Amino acid sequence: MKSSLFPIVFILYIILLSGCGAEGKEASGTGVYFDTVVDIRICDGDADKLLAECFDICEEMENVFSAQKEGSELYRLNHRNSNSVEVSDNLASCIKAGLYYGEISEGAFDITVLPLRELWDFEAEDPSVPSESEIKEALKKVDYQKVHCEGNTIIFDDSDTQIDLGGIAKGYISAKLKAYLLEQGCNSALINLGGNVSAVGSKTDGSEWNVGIQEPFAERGTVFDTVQIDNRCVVSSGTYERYFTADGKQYHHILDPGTGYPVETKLQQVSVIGTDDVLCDALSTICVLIGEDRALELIENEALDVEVIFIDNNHEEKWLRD
Amino acid sequence: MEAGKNKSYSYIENNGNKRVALLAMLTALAILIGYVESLIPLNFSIPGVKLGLCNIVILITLIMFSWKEALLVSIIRILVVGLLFGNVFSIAYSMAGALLALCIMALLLRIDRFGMIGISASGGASHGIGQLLVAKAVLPALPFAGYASILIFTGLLTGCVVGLITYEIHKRLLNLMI
Amino acid sequence: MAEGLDENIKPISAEDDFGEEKSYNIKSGIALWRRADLILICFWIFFALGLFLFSIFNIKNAAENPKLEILIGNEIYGEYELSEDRTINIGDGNICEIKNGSVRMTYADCPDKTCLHSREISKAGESIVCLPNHVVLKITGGSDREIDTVAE
Repeated sequence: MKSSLFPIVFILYIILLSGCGAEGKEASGTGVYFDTVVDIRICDGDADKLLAECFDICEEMENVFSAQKEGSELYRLNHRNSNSVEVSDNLASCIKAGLYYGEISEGAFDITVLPLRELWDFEAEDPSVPSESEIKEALKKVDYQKVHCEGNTIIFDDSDTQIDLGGIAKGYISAKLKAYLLEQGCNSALINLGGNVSAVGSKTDGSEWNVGIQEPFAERGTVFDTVQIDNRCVVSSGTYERYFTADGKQYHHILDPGTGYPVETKLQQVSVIGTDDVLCDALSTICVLIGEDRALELIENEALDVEVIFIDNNHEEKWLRD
Repeated sequence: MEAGKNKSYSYIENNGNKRVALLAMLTALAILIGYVESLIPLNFSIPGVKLGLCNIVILITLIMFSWKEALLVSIIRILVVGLLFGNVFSIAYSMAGALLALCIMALLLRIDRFGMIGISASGGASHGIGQLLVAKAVLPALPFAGYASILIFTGLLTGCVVGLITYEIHKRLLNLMI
Repeated sequence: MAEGLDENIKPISAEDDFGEEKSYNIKSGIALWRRADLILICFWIFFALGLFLFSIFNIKNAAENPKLEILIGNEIYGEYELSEDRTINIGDGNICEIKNGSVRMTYADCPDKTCLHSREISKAGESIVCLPNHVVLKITGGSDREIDTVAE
């Protein structure tokens, strides 16, 4: 009886809200999955049902992509017995995408960076700079070219290779949520997956979504610019997201798989706006890693359909538009 | 059953037995009707809204005996049904609803100006309010007013139906007994 | 017994099987419908209508006023009005403060303290997150959304 009273409250709100001229039905929810906050707002279709389904998908994805969560598919892949492992469609296509972005970024984007990331451990209470020998040791395990994907079978050349999809999984999941919502006929929703914003359609009044972009190194929630999007996504990456200071030097979390240290970059933040969530997620990190000039080259060569906002260390903003 | 204690000894001896039998029958009937009602596939989609056919028995008891007997039947019914099929919460909800409804109905009956429909409809409406008072205590965030208005409206409607049925039954009982 | 309430009920003095006065009353005088019923039912309807209007007014108000919603994990921990200044202990790990209509985190036992460095929030859609403790402070309701969400 107690639990049955919650729906009452709900029904009542729906009845009353729809009765007094509120625009359509809307549902929004927040949850914590794969160590990020997932915020979903749905303004079209059977909003409550869709919202619940979206969180179900998140939970399902958490059990696939979380490298830290024991028992997740990725965890099992990293703690494998054999160097040839059959994986689910989701994991296989995400790894494939990761390898592809490793390819086009010439190794700057590397999904096998996990040993290095665990060594630096930016989430620790008191992170510190690892010793050079430790970094060298970890670097030996980092090489995306030792991972191959044939169909749903992942083949490793080295048993020490471990995969971290942190730079791409969020994009993959938001793309998945977006695809699900579109397939269900929902034409108005906004997904924020730990800072990756993905829009389904536009607002119910037809106007575009206003997405603020976090100002680097300012208080969280401080917005220096807004972009208007519909059906596209905005992903920002930057050195401000996670960092610590040791001996007067700032160490941020975007690690260069070449040196094993945080990448030396003039960029504080790169935001990528485009229609492909996975591309935007990967590209935002790649841009920080390879710097502005090479990034522009890459975008041109690959004819990537994106807009990019670069913020350099002098807080100067530079737009790349079509 | 203590009801009737204040009469003479022989009264309890003779009529006490009969009264116990009658009240037991009424209680059993109330429980049974509650069960039968749960079989009727009427889904109101709002929890807390139901036909309330048990109220027929309670109302008949109230008229034939007094509020004390009606209270007894009511409490036993709720405890039995609650312990068999429900939990602490369901007992608390129905108890509050039933008690408030009984108070109102006994009062209206005593005023002696109201017909079966009026009494029963008021019972239905106040049943919802009673339930809601407990719900509000359990869930402070409950939008009391809005939900109360819905329960009162539905309670009035179901109460009218119950009143009509009770009237017919009561009429036949009268014919039977006189 | 029932005398207290039933003085006006006329017992029917039919003999029962035991040849004595019946222990129950059959009140003969209950009509199906009496004029007073109309007043009674009208009273209930007006009462319910009043409550209904009140609740619409209330809910409309509530929908217009932004509220602070606190989540721990994926469960709602509580909802608070922004109009009232107060300090809220969120479990053991976090404390937040509502002041002049905006909210900020004032204490967190987590290692990264990102939430303490978050901007105070007051408008619908804004949020402060303490990821290690899975605590989310979020402003809900309200209609003045300048920004729908923030890319970080």
